[in-house]
This record gives sequence, C-alpha cells and structure tokens, in this order.
Amino acid sequence: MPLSSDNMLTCRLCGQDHQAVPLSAGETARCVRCGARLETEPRGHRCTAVAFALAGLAFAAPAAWVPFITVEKLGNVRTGNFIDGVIQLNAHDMPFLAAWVLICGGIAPLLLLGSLLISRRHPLPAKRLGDALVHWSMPEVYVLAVFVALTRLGSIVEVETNAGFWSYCAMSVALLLAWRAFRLQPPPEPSA
Amino acid sequence: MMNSRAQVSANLHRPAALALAAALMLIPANLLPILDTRMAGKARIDTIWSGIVELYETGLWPLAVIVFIASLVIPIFKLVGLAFLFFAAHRDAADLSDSARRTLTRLYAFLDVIGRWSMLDVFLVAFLTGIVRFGAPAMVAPRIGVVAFAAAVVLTILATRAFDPRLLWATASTASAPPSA
Ligand SMILES: [Zn+2]
Repeated sequence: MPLSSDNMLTCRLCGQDHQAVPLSAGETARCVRCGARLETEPRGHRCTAVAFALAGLAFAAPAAWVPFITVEKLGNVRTGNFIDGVIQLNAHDMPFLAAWVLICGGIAPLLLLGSLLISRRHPLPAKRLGDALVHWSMPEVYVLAVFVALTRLGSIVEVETNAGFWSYCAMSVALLLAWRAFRLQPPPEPSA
Repeated sequence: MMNSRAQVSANLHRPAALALAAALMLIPANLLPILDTRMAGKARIDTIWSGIVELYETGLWPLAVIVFIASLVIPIFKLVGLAFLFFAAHRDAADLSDSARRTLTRLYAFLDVIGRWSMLDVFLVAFLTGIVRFGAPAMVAPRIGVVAFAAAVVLTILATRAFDPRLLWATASTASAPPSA
C-alpha cells in the first residue's frame, strides 16, 4: 500500500515507519515495535512554549548578575554566583572546564530558551536547534549542585541564600516547561 | 536501509571508541584529587570517593547518597550499559527476539536521560571554587581530577549520541501495523 510521506511517522529509536492515525487531545501514539512515544496530540496553545521561554529569559538576567549565596567567615563576607564559579575555574588554569560549565549551565540553556522563543514563527529551525542543544543544557543539575554546596557549607560557615539562586531555579523550571510545551504543541500550518 | 552485519559493525566503531576513551578517563578521574579545601582550620584534599565519605561521616548521608549515585553509579552503569548495547547490536542482532530488542531500546533511552546527572560533582567544584575564597582562612580550589572526570562525562555523552539505536533493529522484520493509541 503506497503511503504519502506526510502521513508517515518514523520512530526515532528503532526506525519503524507508521501510518499516522487521528488521535484525540492528550492521547499518545506509541511505536508498535519498541514502544517509544511517537507523538502526543497537543492539548495546549501554540503560544505556551513562547510564554514559558519569555519567563525563562526574564529570570536569566538576575540569575546572571545577582548573587546566589552569601557566605560569612570571621567577619569576611563573600557572595558568589554562577559566573564567579566560571571565572575562578579559568583563574585556576582550567579554561576548558570553565568553558564546559559555562556552556552546560549558561549558554546552552539561554540558546535553548532563545530557540523556543522563535518556535511559533519558525518551528522547524527551533526544533533542529532544540534537539541539538537539549543534551548540553543542564541547569537542573546545576541547581542540585548548589543545593548540595549550600548544605555542605551550612554545616561549617554562615550561609545565606540570595535572589540570584531563586532566579536561576525559576529559569530552569521555565525552560523545562517551555521545552515540554514545545514538544506537545500543534504542528505548524503548511506554509506553501 | 542498514542490513548487512558489516555495516552494523562499521557503525559501532565511533561510539565504541568514544566509550572506551570515557572508560579510560574514569581511571584518573577517580584516582586523582578533585578538590582542595581549607576551611575551619582544616585542610584536606579530596578525591570523588573521599568527598562522598566525608559527606557521610559529617551526617549528611542523603547528600552522600546523591553524590554517590551521580558520580559513581551513573557513569559506570552508563558505560556498562553502552558496552552491553554495542555487543548486542554487533553479535546477535539477527537472533534477538522483538521483546529483547524492545528492552534494549528502552535501556538506550534510559541511559540517554540519566547521563547529565553525572555533571553534579563538576558543577559542585565549580560553584564552591567561585564562592569560598577568603584567602588563607578559607578557600576551595579545583584539582586536576575534576578535569578528567568532566572529560569522561563529555565522552560518554558523545558515545551515547554516536550510537544509533536503530542498529538494534537493523535485522528485524518490519512490522506493518498502525501505531497503537
Ligand atoms: Zn520504535
């Protein structure tokens, strides 16, 4: 039976071709061979991903400049945030490590938010960019690392959490929600 | 279509080489110190393992468990899992049952998802280095082991990306049913 290629869904994990069938909202099509999710019929609005991406970018500015935590030791007060960690790694002659932390914790999440921002007007480039970036964007892992650092330092010195850290947390949550909404959004209207 | 066994093993060269490099990197990553700490009148130099033990001994055992899983369990499980997938695709792809192929495909998807969490220790060292710098009374400095560990994580992610899970299905018959809803 010849099938038109627009009507085909190919499983990204096993390569099985499927003929697309209509789904109702919220229903998920799974691969007959390996069981991977092929597509979920969207429930949300096409602007949801853009709205979450905007929120994420709004939180990115304080996340970059406001301190994450304040530490006090013998009357000395120090603040630190994401950028300080990158600068100090570089100062300790570890430029590649500094770049890698900067990419995974800062640049990749920002670019991912940026590509989600244009996802309504340019869904295909947004998807291509997003699939390439999502493996290197790890703000949620950085959040866990800061929690571990806070607890560990808190047992030795006086530690105070600042707005920069909560902004960074909010940015990473907004990014996860935007990416999820993007994957579940309605397909683009045919332009030609 | 990828059908011949020769083609399958040719497609395994790159991911297998990357995974092997990652496994070799894990050796210095675990033997060399990753962090130099001078705080509260004590100076210590930690490896990944001694850092976990210290968290446990100071009563922060939930953190010790989290770091243990992220820094030791996930990297090793991921490399062993990848090696298992490579062997399955290389040796017995033709004899695998569909349910075995399905299990292996799920294993691949799982390995792909968990890999990022092994960056925890690298981020921890980066953040502590940025915040604790009071000069002589208290300071934290990164040591070379953390670079080896980060390299192992990057190589493992690249190995996972280089492996095409469709190789597990290269010799399978193509099903011709519509997707199940
Ligand atoms: Zn499949």
